[in-house]
Amino acid sequence: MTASMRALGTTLPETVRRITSLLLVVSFAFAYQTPAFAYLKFGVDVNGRQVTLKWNQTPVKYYVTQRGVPGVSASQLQAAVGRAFGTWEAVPSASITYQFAGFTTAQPLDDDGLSTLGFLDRPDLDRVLASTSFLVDESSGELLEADILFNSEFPWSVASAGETGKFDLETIALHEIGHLSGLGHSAIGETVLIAGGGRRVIAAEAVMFPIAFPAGTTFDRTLHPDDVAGISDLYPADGFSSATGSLTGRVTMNGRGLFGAHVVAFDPSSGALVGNFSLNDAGQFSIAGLSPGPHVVRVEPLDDADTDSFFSDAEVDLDFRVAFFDGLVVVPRGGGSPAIELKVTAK
Amino acid sequence: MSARWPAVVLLLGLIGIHAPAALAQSVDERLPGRFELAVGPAWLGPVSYGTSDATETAADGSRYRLFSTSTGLQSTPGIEARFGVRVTRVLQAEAEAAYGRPTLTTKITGDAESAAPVSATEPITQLTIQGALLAHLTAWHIGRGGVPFVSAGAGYLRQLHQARALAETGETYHVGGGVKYLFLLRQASRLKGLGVRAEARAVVAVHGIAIDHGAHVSPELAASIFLRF
Repeated sequence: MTASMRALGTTLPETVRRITSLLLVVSFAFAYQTPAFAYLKFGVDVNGRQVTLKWNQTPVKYYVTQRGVPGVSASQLQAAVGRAFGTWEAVPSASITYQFAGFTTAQPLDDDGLSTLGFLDRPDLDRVLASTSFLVDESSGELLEADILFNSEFPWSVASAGETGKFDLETIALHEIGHLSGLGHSAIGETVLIAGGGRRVIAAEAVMFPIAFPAGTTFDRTLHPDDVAGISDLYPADGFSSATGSLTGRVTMNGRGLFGAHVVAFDPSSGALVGNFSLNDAGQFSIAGLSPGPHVVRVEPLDDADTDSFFSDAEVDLDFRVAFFDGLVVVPRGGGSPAIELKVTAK
Repeated sequence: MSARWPAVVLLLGLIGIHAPAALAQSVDERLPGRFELAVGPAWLGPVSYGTSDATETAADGSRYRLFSTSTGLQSTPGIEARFGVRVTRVLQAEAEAAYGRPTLTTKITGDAESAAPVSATEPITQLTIQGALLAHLTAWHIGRGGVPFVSAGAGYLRQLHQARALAETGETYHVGGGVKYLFLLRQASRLKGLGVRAEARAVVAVHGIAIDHGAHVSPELAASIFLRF
């Protein structure tokens, strides 16, 4: 596949596809939005088998464009994204590393085999703060290139305490670098509908939630347990698998499996919330990277963001009530819990 | 009130001075033999591990509560066994083991999206092994065969989650007191005596399945039949 990357600037090989994921100011139904893929980890279908997208070679080398915007110079952009890369790299249970390869005159979204981060003018994306696009080898699931664009139509800040009315670049970069690393969106967040359509986030506990906090805030510069579980599951460090466990089961309604139900495991001893979705028609789900011990399990419909922020070309079951599993589910160290069945009822 | 304290201290001093001579006969009569074996049921009291809220970061930086939980161990019957060796006229060293199957319960309430409250439960298998020191208070005997005592001990706590999926360990400490009542005395036999023992304790468990990994106090009651030999 390395050989084919040289040809990316002209013609994409048949096995290479570009995927885009967006971070929204407020959610909005985009007719033109490129579909995202399965939550927590991106995936592609290879000969009927779901393959996880990830980088096979680390450190992941990235370039930063030489262009700044009002209030943010190119060097400040590089410093801010460097801090965000450092935050992901500092997860002790994950092994992924990144390397700044230099400034470039190339632009994000160029199919040049270089992972490039920079500002672009995208007035057409009037609710999109930033997006990440990948070139993917669909035969293996290997990530070949990932570009991040920060929409220069929005006001940006790199002030350490944030600036009123401006979006914190490090915060947004942290979310996009999660995508660059292969993570999809998390649904651990709550939103409300706003006049004129769309949703506004009122709370979230995952950097990978698809809707950003309001301008001026900086508290999403740190990763949450859901983010840590995701990156560690994708790039496990030595000892991660033996130190954590997983929780599996099915979500059903009247005996029928539900697709796209959001299942969250809560550890009362640490307060950690880690989630995933039922990912097939049997309603099966699996949540990995959990701390050993008893967990409370909650299931809810995916109604706090547009479903196509999580799944492409799939009909998500939304017509059921939020519910808790009536037992504590014990996650063993280095293994999986016995499968549970989360029975829900229609709204 | 304060004027009475010297009298009390004096009384305790007199008991202390005269106890050894008085106890020599009393201990042998009421608790003959050197060894004691006891087995019986126990009631392991409830333990509260406190509350823990599932929260998210709100848009203003505060915490947004998704739901609340309160967790604890329900009370349960258990069984205890002890082996004691008299080391002085009043002191007895004991090794003891206790077994119970309490239920860990987490009550889930206040869901932000109106999910019905639930009590999520899980059976726990609990084993404690302790060493203790027991002091017979023969001077305060009850009737002809009753001997009050106080005890304190420390030991190992092991709590197994359902299906032995996970074992949590910790330490356990106790202070307590009770009474032994000897109702069969056979000085000439190898079996020196037979009696019943009742005890109340305050138990401090540290770590184990405690969700805050801290120390928690719970009551415990035990009754047993003991053999002296």
